[in-house]
Amino acid sequence: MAPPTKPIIIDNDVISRLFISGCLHRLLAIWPRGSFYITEQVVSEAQRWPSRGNELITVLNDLNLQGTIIFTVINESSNEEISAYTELQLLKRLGRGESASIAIASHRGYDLAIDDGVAKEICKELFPSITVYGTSSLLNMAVSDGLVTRRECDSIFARIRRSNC
Amino acid sequence: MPTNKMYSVPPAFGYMLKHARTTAGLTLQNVSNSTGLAVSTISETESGKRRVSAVELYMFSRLYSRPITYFFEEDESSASFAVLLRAANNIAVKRETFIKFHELCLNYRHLRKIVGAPEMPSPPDYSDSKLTSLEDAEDIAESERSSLGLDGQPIRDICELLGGKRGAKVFHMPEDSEAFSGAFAYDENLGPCFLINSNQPVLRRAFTAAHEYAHCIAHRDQLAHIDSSTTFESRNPRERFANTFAAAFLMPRRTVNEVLSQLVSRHSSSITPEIIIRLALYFGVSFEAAGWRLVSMRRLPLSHWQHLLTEKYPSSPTARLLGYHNEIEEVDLLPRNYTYLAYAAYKAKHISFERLAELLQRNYYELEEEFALENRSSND
Repeated sequence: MAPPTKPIIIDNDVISRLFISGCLHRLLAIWPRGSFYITEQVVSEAQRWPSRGNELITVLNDLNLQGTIIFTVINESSNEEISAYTELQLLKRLGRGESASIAIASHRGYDLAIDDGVAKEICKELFPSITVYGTSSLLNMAVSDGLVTRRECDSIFARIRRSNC
Repeated sequence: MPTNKMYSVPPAFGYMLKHARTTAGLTLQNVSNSTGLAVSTISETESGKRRVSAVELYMFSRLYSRPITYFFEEDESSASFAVLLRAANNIAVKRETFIKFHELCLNYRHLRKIVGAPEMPSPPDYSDSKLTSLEDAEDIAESERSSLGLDGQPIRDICELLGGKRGAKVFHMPEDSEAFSGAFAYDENLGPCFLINSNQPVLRRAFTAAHEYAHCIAHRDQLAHIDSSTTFESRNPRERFANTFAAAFLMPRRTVNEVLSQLVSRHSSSITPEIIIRLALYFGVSFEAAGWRLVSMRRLPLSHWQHLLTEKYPSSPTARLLGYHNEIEEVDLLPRNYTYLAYAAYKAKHISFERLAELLQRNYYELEEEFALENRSSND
């Protein structure tokens, strides 16, 4: 298996899209350990989701136990991470989770998986060194790395379209 | 991006920072101990004499439990909210409720700005007129109704009315304290801001909104006020004024008389509990508010009313049969216009979906689930 060149920090919207379409575990579990990070904001927001929070947390914990995803927080001893987070929050355009994901990615050299257009645009503008993936590019990367077949990828796309998220 | 960028601070920065610290109950020394910054540095920062670093901003935000953006407001808007916070110490209302209320009002202003919403109309200010008599309250209520183009009709949604035509920011938040009905804060930069306890029965909330509006137009010099009385009988002249205004605003004399003329039997002139229930439902107020209005209009003798009050009629099967349900019902906690502005900001790509969820005080996943369902049904 070819690992992603850098770890990828995944934000709410990609997690949500893959989860609602029933593909979260299937898609992430195929990557090597340590491929993905998610922030405490994503986890705590998932915990507060009234209808399916428990189910989502179970999947995330399972992936965490396998080592596929690692839970992370802003490093409070890192001026770079805090500065980036502060700068992003002062724009008043992004949520706290998105700001944390971008700030962490910028300092630790991770890539970012996010679908929101505003967040993508801001990330590319302020942190051009971060490679930004969307759900679809994550899926296509899995195909090109031979982790899933094109047919399976198309089936996942179809499920995402059906769930309208 | 430079490490630990330094920011020039807006004029209100120092004030907002100090306000947040004192609200958190911290001394300069406490903050110094927690952050490692010298007391003199914190003091200079609060005076607006020095620039602030990104790391300092982050530390202040964590320590004071405020969003980072809170300190970077363009104008001061804390004086009236500071009054509320001080008063919160004397009644059983959580200070966090008023802190959240302030943040929501600041968000409202910011949303208006980024969406380019037109200037909000301002309510009149009678606080210089020193109006105190109950007749004054009746007159102002009549005049306000007339200026709002209400004629004699009942007000179906007072929060929408005051939001749309008087620029009031009316938020509902749940508070356990039964005594707490509502609060108002007036600020030159934020305008009139009302907070209503959403744990009150639905029919009482309209009266609370009208009561807060009375304070806003007649007692604005107070800057802010908390209402913590559960009864309509108050000895405080300002409270009596506000109650009389609210009753006259929601139940105009002429219409009350017209409705009564259709309800009171020709054979008996006495006011029955059923008539009061009908009146309450017609005007969208509580049984108590309707009864007290009849007393003030001398249509119902006080002794008879006091007797009726002891019978707990509003919770009777008859009252329920007549359609009276004075219970706690779900309410939109945010003003509809606030929600509209937040959504407009999202649609115009000013803010992300996650930021939209934060502004609407909603869980991200739950909101996204609703949007997905909406898309699904519109595609069906």
